[in-house]
Amino acid sequence: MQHTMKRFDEELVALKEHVLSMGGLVERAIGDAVTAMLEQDEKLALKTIERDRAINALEIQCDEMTRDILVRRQPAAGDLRFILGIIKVVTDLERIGDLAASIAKAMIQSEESPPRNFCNLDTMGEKVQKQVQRALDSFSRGDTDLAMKVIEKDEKIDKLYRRMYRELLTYMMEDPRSISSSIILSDAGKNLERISSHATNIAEMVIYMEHGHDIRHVDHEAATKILAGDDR
Amino acid sequence: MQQAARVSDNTAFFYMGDLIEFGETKEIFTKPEKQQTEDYITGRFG
Repeated sequence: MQHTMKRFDEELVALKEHVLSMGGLVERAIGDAVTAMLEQDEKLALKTIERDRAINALEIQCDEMTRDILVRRQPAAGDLRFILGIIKVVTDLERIGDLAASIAKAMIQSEESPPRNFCNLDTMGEKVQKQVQRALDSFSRGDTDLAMKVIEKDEKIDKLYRRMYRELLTYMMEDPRSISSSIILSDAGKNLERISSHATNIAEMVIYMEHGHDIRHVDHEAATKILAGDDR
Repeated sequence: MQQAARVSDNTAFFYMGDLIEFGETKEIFTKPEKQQTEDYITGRFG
């Protein structure tokens, strides 16, 4: 149902579109940062770092829009949860942008001693990008089932990072000359793991926005139970 | 409505003389149970 004030509906839609376009930029940033690292493409890395400015600018725009809505519309119930959710989602997206830019910066650093073996960075990159994509889709459609899937899959990304770390440790022990490139790769992996955690935060906020349940900091089983008890 | 949210502990929503929903004010204004309450509070009808 529409608001009696049509303008308010338009403002909510515009805000959502802004967040989604920020999400689009962030998704590309992750893909490009990982590709730049794998292909040692400095140009692409520089482009990714440059794109982070656009992401930051969108964050400020979204924050201004939410502030205006809070001041002028005093949203309640579902609208209030939507606004609260947006405030947090935007922060997570901005952090993801920073982390992708860090990977791109690490690529430029790694040029002095390019890594010979990228471990599972490519698979991890793909999976993490998928996580962010799913989180944004769940936000866009208000799809809480998809949001739960994002939360569930985060554990797998953690495992991938641990595996990568162990592998890199072995390389470093075998050949001390690989230490600097291995550290750079391990940092890139860590950044991807952090990105996935931010995607999880977004998914948790989608559930709060849709159902009003705060499932942060509870385990997956408890979260499923909380959601099952919701008949709305 | 803002005044009701500010001063009350509990809130009841009536429509055409029928009680639609009753609950703690903070629940009603953040997470109402009934769609009709939600629509009223968010200014979608009434």
